[in-house]
Amino acid sequence: MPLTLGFLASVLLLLPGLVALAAFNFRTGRAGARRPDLQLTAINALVASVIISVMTHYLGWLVAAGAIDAAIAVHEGYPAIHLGAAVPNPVGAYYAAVTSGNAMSGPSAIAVAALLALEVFAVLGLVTGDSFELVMDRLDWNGQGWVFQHITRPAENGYAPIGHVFTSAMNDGYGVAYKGVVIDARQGANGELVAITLARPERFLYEIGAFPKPARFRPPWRRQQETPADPVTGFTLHGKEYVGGVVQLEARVISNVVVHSIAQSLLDEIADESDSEAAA
Amino acid sequence: MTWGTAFGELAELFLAAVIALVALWPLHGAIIGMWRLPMLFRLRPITTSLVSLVVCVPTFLASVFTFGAGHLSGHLFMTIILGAWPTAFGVNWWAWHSATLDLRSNAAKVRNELSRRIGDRVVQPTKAWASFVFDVERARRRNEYEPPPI
Repeated sequence: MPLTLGFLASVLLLLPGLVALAAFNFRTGRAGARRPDLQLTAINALVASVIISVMTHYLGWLVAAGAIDAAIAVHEGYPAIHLGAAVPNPVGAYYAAVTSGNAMSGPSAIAVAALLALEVFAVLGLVTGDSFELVMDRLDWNGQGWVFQHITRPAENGYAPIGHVFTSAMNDGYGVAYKGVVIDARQGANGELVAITLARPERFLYEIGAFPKPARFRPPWRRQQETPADPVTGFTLHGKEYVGGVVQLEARVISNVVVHSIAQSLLDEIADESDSEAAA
Repeated sequence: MTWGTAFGELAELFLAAVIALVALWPLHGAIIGMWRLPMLFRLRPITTSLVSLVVCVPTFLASVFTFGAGHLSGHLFMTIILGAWPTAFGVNWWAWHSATLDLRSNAAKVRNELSRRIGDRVVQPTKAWASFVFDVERARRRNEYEPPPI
């Protein structure tokens, strides 16, 4: 078989698995935090694709055998109903054509195409279905790590991941930071943060190195009394201003990110109280 | 089915198109319903077993009596393709019917949250919906979920 046709035949064989991967990538892309797409070059994705393809073709073989047998049963029960000449099982016919190099007959080719379409829709039905979602719900299949545990899962379970994003834009010891609900977090192939998006953020300044200046002279008995219980970090937050809308911050401007998960019901209660106070 | 005349050929083509369109229903039901059954069985094993028996045994017997004995795989195929969706529907309806209003409300709340995210239809707890059993499970998992410590 020529190389081009061999490649096409291989792609057709792997089509159900490839469709499953594409559907999985599309499905996870709809979540609160976008996950990195499963790459076909990744070993686990390739193995999963092959396994899904083989299992789908096996199920397709069973379904085709049942459908052909049902058509024969219908014809034998009611000879007036003639559904056409029986075709060989499309999966077997396809493998026979690939291995022998001989062209398939027209009805066989149509049967193969129909079965392939059915397999693709069946795989789509599986991956986009509720059962699959419930099975995969708790698994970090894409290897998101902290984003999965602290952003994706809380967001899918009634919590709002509140992110404090400290940027590297500094001026005279002051830096700009944002606080808001994380609605999108993108990661690169190695799990590094590429960008993060906050909804209705607040912007504030933070100051580094703001240590209180010690007095020039204090008697020894005063020094012990003035030592604070908590050591001074030299990190000070200043007043916030509401920015609103959406802000996206790319990795090159992000210094660090702190995420807290707050129950959405609690935030709704606070919002309701604020509204009622504003109305009064 | 053949009539031999030009009109017969045309009628045959039309009939084939109609049958193909009608066949989309069991096909769609089989594709969607088939994948629901394992998880339904895991979540509601007794209900799923009983409804499967009630739906699939009569369907299999009807197929055998209609088209004759023999061709076991053909009868199984027709039973699965025609029975999958009604079984899933029956389990879901029975689960909704036997659920308390609190359970329905919690499931509807989870479903509507998902629906708003993907632009789907909003459901009411007073009327059964297709993914009720799954939404009950989602609500249960949500109640058990604990976020990472602050």
